[in-house]
Order: sequence, then C-alpha cells, then structure tokens
Amino acid sequence: MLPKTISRARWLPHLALSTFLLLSSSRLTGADEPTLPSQLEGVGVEERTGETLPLSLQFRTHDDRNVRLNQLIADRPTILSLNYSRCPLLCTLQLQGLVDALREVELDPGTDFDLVSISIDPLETVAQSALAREKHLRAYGVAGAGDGWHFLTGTRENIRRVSDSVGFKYEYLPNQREYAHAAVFMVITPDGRVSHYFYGVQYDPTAVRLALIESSEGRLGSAFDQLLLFCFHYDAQAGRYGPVAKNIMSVGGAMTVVLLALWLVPAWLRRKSRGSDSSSPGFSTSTNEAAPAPAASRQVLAPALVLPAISSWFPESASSVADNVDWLFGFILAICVVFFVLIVGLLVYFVIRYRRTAEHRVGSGPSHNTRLEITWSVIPFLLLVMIFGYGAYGFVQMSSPPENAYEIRVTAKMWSWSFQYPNGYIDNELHVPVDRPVRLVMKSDDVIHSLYVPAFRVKQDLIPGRYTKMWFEATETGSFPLFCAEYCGQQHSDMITNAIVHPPGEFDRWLDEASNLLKTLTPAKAGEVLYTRRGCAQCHSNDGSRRVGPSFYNVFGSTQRMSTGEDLVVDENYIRESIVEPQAKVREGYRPVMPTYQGQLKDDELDALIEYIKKLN
Amino acid sequence: MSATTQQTGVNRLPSTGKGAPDHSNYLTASRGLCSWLFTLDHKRIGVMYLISVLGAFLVGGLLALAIRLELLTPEKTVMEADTYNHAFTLHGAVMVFLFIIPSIPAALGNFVLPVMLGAKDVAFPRINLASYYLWVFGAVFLLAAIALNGLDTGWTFYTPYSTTTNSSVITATAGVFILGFSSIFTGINFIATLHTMRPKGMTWFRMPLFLWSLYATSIIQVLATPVLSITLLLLIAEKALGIGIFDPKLGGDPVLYQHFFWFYSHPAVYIMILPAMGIISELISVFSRKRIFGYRFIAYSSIAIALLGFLVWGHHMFTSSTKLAAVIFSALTFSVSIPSGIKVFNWLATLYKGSISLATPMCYALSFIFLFTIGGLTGLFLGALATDVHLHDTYFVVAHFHYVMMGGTLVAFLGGLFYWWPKMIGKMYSEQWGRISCLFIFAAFNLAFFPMFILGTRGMPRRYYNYLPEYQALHVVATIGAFLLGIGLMMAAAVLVHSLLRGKPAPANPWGAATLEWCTSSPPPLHNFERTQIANDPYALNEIVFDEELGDFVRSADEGTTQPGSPATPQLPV
Repeated sequence: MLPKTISRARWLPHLALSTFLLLSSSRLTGADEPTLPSQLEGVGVEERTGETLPLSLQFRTHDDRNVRLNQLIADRPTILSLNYSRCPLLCTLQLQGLVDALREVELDPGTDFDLVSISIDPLETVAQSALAREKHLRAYGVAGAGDGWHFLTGTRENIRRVSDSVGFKYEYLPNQREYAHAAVFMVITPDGRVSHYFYGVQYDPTAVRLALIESSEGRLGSAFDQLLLFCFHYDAQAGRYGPVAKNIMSVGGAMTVVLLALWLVPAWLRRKSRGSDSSSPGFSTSTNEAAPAPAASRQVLAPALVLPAISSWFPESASSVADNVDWLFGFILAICVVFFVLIVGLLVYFVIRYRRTAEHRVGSGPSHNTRLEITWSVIPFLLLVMIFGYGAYGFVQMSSPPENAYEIRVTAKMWSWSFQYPNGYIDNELHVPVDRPVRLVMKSDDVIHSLYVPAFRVKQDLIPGRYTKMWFEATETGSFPLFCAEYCGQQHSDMITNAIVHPPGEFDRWLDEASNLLKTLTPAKAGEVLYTRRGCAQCHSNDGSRRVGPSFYNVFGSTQRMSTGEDLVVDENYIRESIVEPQAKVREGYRPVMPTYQGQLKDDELDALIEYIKKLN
Repeated sequence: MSATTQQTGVNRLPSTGKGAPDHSNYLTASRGLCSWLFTLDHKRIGVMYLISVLGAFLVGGLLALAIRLELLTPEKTVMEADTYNHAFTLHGAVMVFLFIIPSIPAALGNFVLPVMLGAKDVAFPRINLASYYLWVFGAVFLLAAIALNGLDTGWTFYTPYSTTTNSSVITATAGVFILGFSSIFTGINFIATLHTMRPKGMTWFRMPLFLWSLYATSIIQVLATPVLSITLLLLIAEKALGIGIFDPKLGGDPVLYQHFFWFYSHPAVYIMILPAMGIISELISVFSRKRIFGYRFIAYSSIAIALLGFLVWGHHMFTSSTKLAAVIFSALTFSVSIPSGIKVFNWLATLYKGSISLATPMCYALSFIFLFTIGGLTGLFLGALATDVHLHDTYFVVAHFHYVMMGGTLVAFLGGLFYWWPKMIGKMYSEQWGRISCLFIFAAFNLAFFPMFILGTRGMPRRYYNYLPEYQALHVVATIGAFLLGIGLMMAAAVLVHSLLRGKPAPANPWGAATLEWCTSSPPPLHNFERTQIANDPYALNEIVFDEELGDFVRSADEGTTQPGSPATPQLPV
C-alpha cells in the first residue's frame, strides 16, 4: 500500500502530501519517518470507534435553519465528513471520491442512509456551504440526494467537540490561511456511534456499502450482504473488507453439512419406505432369507439417493451393492464439489480482487499462520477418514460372499469367456437368477483378464495359476454388458459378453433347456449354437473373412499348408486335434495363439462342431 | 525496454574483432556442434535435454492424436486393432519415460538448479552429460521397438502378457532400463549439488521451494528406480530364458510383477508431480509479488509426499489383491493426499492480498491449480475401495491421471518454460500470444479429458479399440478436444519459436523475482555469475523494485547505488 500512497501523493500540493504521510506514518518504521513541520504536529486521526457523537449540538444548515445533530442522525446510518468549502484541493477531491463510490453502492441517500458534511471553518457562511452543497450534489447526480445530504456550519466550539469525538485532528495554518487536515470520512450508526473510518480520496464502493449495511444494525441489506459481512471484516488500514478465514471456513463447513443433509435425508426417507416394502408379502422370497447378512448390512449403509444429474452419469444399477457404490460416489462428489467451488472460487476472487493495478504494487498479507495451516490439514483429514471408512466398509461387504450362494465357474481366455454351471453345462454368457447371491470362482487360461459388469459395479481380476472369487446379487432382470477390463492383447475390446438376469423361476428352466442342447437339436444345429456360445466365432468366421484364426467356410476337405511346410487335408481328425491341441499343427500364415479346449468340450459337442463345419461347405 | 540492451550488454567483454568468440554468455561462449555435444555446462545440457524431451513429447502427442482419431467411431476408423494397441502402448511409454519423468528435473532442473542455488555448475558435470546420453540411448531403444515388431503390452508391461507376446518387449524394456540409469544419475547429481554446493547464506530453509521439490524428487529417483531396473531385468530374463518368476506356467506369480512394477511406478508419479508443484510455488509467489505462504509447510510436505509415496503402490491392484491388503493400501493412499491439499491451500493463501500479475507463466500456474484440483479430488473416488472397484481400469482412471500428469505436470512444465525462457535464451516472447495459447490449452484440455470422467463412470473400460455405440458421443467430444489441444500446444511452440527468432532481448530480471538466477544476466555467463553470490531471502519480493533507468528490477536496498548489470545482491569478490 505504501508506495501506492506515495505515488498518488506526488501530484498533490505540499500540504496534502504532508497529511498523507502523516496518515501513513503508523505503518512506517521509525527510521523512515519523515520529520514534520512543527505546525503539522497534532494533525491526523485517532480512531474512536464506538464513541457516541455529541448529538445535542446545534448547527446551521445550508438553508439557514438551526438543527440539532440528533435531528439528522436517527433511524439510518450516516456518513459524516469534516471539510470546508475554501479548501484548495483536498476536500473537493475527497468529496468527489465519496460521490464516485456512493454512485455504485446501490443504496439511496435520504432513505437508506444520510450524509452530513460539517465545515471545520467557523468563519464559513451559510451561502458558502450552500454553494459547496450544490456543486457536490451536481457531481453526485442522483435525484433526491439533496434530501439526504446536509452541509452544516457551526461555532468553533461545536466543531471542535464533534471533531474531537471522532478523533479528527486539524490545525489552522495562519501563514497559508488554510487548515491542515486529513482526508477521511466516518460512518455513524443510527444511535450516533462511530463505526467505520475511510481514509484517502478513493474508496472501494463494496466496502462503503458493507460498512453502511453493517452500521445500519440490521435495517439494511440482503441476506447475501449479511453472509458477506460474516465472512469479511472491515480492515481500516486497507479501507476495505478482507476475508476472515475462520468465518469463511465456518460457512464452508455449514454448507457441507447442508449439502450432506440434502443428500442423506431423502435417502433415509427412501430407505424407510423400502424397509416397509420388504416386509410386504411376496418380496421376501426364500432366496432372500438365505442371505440375511448382506440384506441387513445394506440397511446400515443403504442411503441410496443419487442426485438426478449424477445418476445419469452411471449405468443402470442392477445389483445389491450398486446403490451403496453410487451413494458413496455421490458422497465423495459432494465433498469434492464443495472443495472445488471453495478453491476455484477463492482463486478467481483473489485474482480479480488483488489484480496488480499499479506496476509497482507489492503484495501484503501474512506469510504464515500455523493455526490456519493446521485447520486446513485437519479438516480434510477428518473427511478423508470418513471416505476411507465408507469405502473400506463397502468393499468388505462386496468381497464377502454369503454362505450357500449359487456358484458359477468362470474361465477366461484370449478373447472369450466361458461360464460353467453346477450341472457341468458351459455357456459364453453369464446367466444368473434375480435376487439370489451368485458366487463366481474364476481362473484364466493364459494372461490376466478382469471380469467387469458396470451395471453390478463389480470387477475382479482373473489371474492365471490361481482362483479368484467375486460375488454379487442381481436385483434387476435383463441383459447387461460384461467386459474384460484388464488389457489382454489384440482383441481385448471384443472380449465382451452379456450378463443375463432371469426373472424368478425362469433361470432353472433356461439352464435345463440349454444343457440339453444336443438332445433337442440336430448335431449341425447344435454345433452352430456351440460355435457362438463357446467363443469359436471370436476368431473363426463362417463366411470366409479372415480373423485371427482360419475361417470355417469351405475348409472341410480342403488341402491346407501348415507352418511346418507340409500339406494336410482338413478332415474330422485334423479338426478334433486342432480343438483339443491347437498348437500341434498350425496353418501357415496364422499365429499359434489358440488356447486348448481339452476337457472343456465333451465328445458329442466336438462331433456337433465338426458337423457344423462340414455344413459350411 | 530501450535500456534493456544496454543492461544485458554490460557483462560482455569488448568485442575483439570479427570471428572471435563472444564470452558474455553460455550460448556464445564457444561455437560448433562439438562444443554442444561434449559440453559439461549444465545449462547447455539442460537445453539439449529440453530439445530432446520436446521431441519425445511431439512423438507421444502424435500417437495420442492417432489414438483419439481411431476412437472417433465404435468400430475401425483408421487403423487395425494391432496398430491401435501399439499406438497406445508407445504413447504411454514415450510420454512417461521419455517426456514427463525427465521433463522438469532433467530439462528445466538441470538449467535452473545450479543458478538458482548460486553455484557454478552441478556437482558432477560429467555424470550429468552421461545421464543425457543414457537418455538418448534409452530413447533409441524404446523407439527402435516401434521400428522392429512394435510393442503392444501397455506401458506397464504386465506379465504374463508381456512374456508371451511376440512384440519387441525386450528391446523396449532394455530402453526403459537404460532410461532408469539416466534418471538415477540426475538424482545423484542433484542431491550432491544441493548438499555440497550451497553458497554462503544459502541455508536449507533459505532454499527456494523449487529446489526443495527437486531434492525430494531426487530422493525418489535414487531409491525407487533401481527397483524398476531389477524388475525389468527379471522380465527380460523371464522372456529370454524362461526362468519362471512371473509366469504361472513355470511356477511364477504374475501379481509379483505388479507389486515390483508399482513399487517404482507409484513413487514415479511423484517424480512427475513434485517438481511441478515446486515450479508452481515459485510462480505463484513471484507473480503475486508476495512471500510464499507457509514456506516450511510446503517444504516439509514435499518430503512427506516423497516418503509416503513409497507406501501406496498397492492401490493400483485393488482388484487383484487380498481384502486386508486393499484396506491397508487404501488408508495409506488417503494419507498422501493431505500434503498435496496443504500445498493447494498454501498457494491460495499466497494469492490472498497479493499483487497479482497475469503474465503467461502465472496463467499456466493458475491453470495448474484448477486442473490439479480436479485431478487430485477425483483421486478420492479411486482411493475409496468401494467406488474404485467400479472405476478401476475405466476411462475414469484415464481422465484422473491425465488431469494430474498432463493438467498438472505438463502445464507446470510449460509455466516453468515460459518463466525461465528469458533466462535460458535471453529473449522475451509475446505476452499476448503466450496468454492466448495458455487459455486455449486450458479450454481444450478440459474438453478432451473431462468427458472421460463420465465415460469411466458409465463403465467404459480403458485400452478398448472397439466400444459399445452408447459411448460414442463422449468419445467424439474428447477427440475434438484432443485435436484442439494439439493446436493449442502448437500455438505455444510458435510463441517460443517466434521469440527465439524475433524476441526482444530480456533484462536480467524481467518478472521482479528474488531468487538468485535472476541476479545474473540473461542468458547467464558460462560460470553463471560474475561474482560469488551470497544467498538472500528468496521470497523477499517486496524488496524488488523496478528501476526505470535500467529497465529492470533490482533489490531496493541497492537502488541508486547499483551499477548497471551488476547483480542485485550483496556479493563477494571471486
């Protein structure tokens, strides 16, 4: 601030320069303090915030009436300035700066606040003060301002008593026939107490507005103004309102609580209504009773409302854990949004508010505040503990399968899935019954894969050489995409299948039908079904187009060259060998990447596939 | 600015006639290609690193654009699946190993660290040059993998895929192995320099925060990189000899590889982000013309991040590890987010009541805070176990680390480059175009990567060549953003190239900074300073004032007495 003040002072007359320096002197170090001409000693301002003005004093108005101060200062906050109309420059500048600021405060003089300018020159005539008033009102340019701006003259003693009560010290300089005084105005509360000082000749309109609102003691200002006043306190040195970290954090904390409440309360209400649903007959099926543990735990963690905007981010939720995951996502998102708005809001505000306006201005403000720093370490820490707790709790639930869950064995290989049901039947799609816990016991035949059903919010890696397990309970019927989520080579992105959730009772019927494929269909038809269900179609086309493996189209009976260079006729034996022992004889021009189906296809299934390939000629 | 030429010219010896080398600065001290290729000057090595890593960034960036182009449609757009897999693998490997890890420490750090410290050079100039050539050899190996069979494992080289694929895994991992040594050499050099070459008055707590962050980074480089080197050697041995450490068919454990790999690669994330944070601390302070808020908290938080960073590798494996391990690693992961948060709050507090100038480097610094905040906060979703299971290996992760690595490290790197550019090259650039390029990059970046958060939440797995049609709209937005981002980066490059050719000469201290590198001429003389420096308070920015006569900033204590061109700090005769 200091260099700015000095640079501004350069074009002011000597007198004003001295008074400015005087005002700044409290901020100067002793060594830098300028020596003052003796007559300037005792000029300045001693702040008397809270002091009551002598309201009974009588002054003369510009239209030549006698008034007591308490006739003018009542009901409304008042801006009080001490000037005199013969002042060569400073008073004009100051009042000009004042009206410049007032034009932007969006408050009306005469209704929201009053202005009182008392002349410090006891010799000033009513005519002079009326003239000065007219000049400044013209500059103000707001209709009706005249009712709210009073220019007063009075006796030497009355002037002294008012100026002393606000700590305004001025001296008469007989040589120059001028007054040495400071440029300052005060804001006075409706009951006549001094509340704010504004120094200089330029004022921040926001600060003036907030000062008036604060001084009105609740009679002025919107709720937003009150919030601002809570977060920003008046800094008399800087002449503006600065943020109060503690209060801002309180507001931030309150906002967090409100947001969380908005989040949680509807969720709890919804859970309540859900609870009554589940007690209704029909919902409580035998499968549900078979798994009381996760159902009960869901009650604890269940608040499951997701803001509409966020829920559209998510795929449909179709498992017992999905709502918990979405809830936690929403919870973390709420925290993130609060912090993001706080950080970016402050960032933008500071950048605008503290923009470098003068090339030479340096920053001020603290460079260290242990208390503040500990606060902003501890609050996030506590929130993180909460997030961690919810996350870990949900995870433990998700990875603890209930007893007697329905078990399906999963095998992944490049680049297909196979799901084996308890009766030994294998399918390339995952079929499960609704509302019944399902446990997957999984292995990989080649590299690491990962089974991921976005609608169930579950994912688990399949690692060669060991079994991994996961479980879920589907709550919605339908077909949901099932992805491989761990990169596994060329056709990683084609390792997609479906998780099909059957309505109650229909799963068993489906399994029965599917398992007896060979008995109900002709071998060639059954072979066609196996061709798609068992993942052959992933690499072998049936229309002659080239994929990773040779096409089945027109291949049976043909002569093909192997990678070893020998020629072979593709017959039943070659096809059978290629399925159970794929690396034995690899066609020329193809990579030896096919995994073995040894033990995974039964004899009659192999026969059916061979019949199907024969039929493609 | 008219006084500027006079000012920078002062350190120059009188010209001794045509053809005689002009010894006034490191760029002109000697001539010829060999004087660069065999230089031991840390500044020249820094500049060579800078050119090289920018070349690598161009390669990685073009690969990124190829990937985004392919993802424009759910099916094949321009390339086959194999080509796509090679493209994203090399994009990752080139960006991580050739660009991000060396970008700030090796390129900017090499140039800035000794000058900022007030030293003549790094402790081991020959090791420094060796580290550069190791980088070059590593890069040749890594890029040779493209020319040979390509590389399709993903930059993580997960076993057993990497031991069974027939692409050039051995060539590429050998390249990364060599790059690891380059990184270790740089780390050792910086640690030794910071310990032994601090001038009089430069106590640990008078070191600028950028140096603290480089110190923390170097510790990680020296401690973690050997683990990667050993892992990659084992991988090569596994692939070439079939010794059976990682391959389950031979009795190995594929998850062991993941543990080894992330034990390096997670700390490596902090190798990437810590120096970026250091740069931001400098920029925010200088362009707010205010002392950095909470100096000690920031300095300690760098060290805390470096140490805690070693304990969190397991969070890359929540979906492949045991329940207990996952819970422990989740807790540790959250603990490392606190020091990062502290830094963001400290930067904000520095802005408070500052005198904020929106010069180009500051625009990058503010972009960094915005993007890094998003990147950091979205980390919470991935640290929390229940949500991570859903989001792991989806585009959410892709978006998260691009916000941290690119929105964080790259943007800070650009900020640092624009900040030290006048010092490195001795030329100013167009402020206006610098700011426009920054704004463009910022907007395009968000357009390219924010949709990926939504894609990931909706379940789109990463590293997918084909995808379900429902994801297409967001992919199209991301692709448009990626190409705009490419244009923005080209704009930034054009600003710098223009400055190189046509820029006005830079004064010694164009930003009014208080650290030592601004006390010497721009560009600095061969031995950095004409006189030995005594370190002053690096954040006494209120003491730096603009001197109209010199057209430059000087320390106010010296105002009026400083002769043109003499450093603005107290000094001892050599």
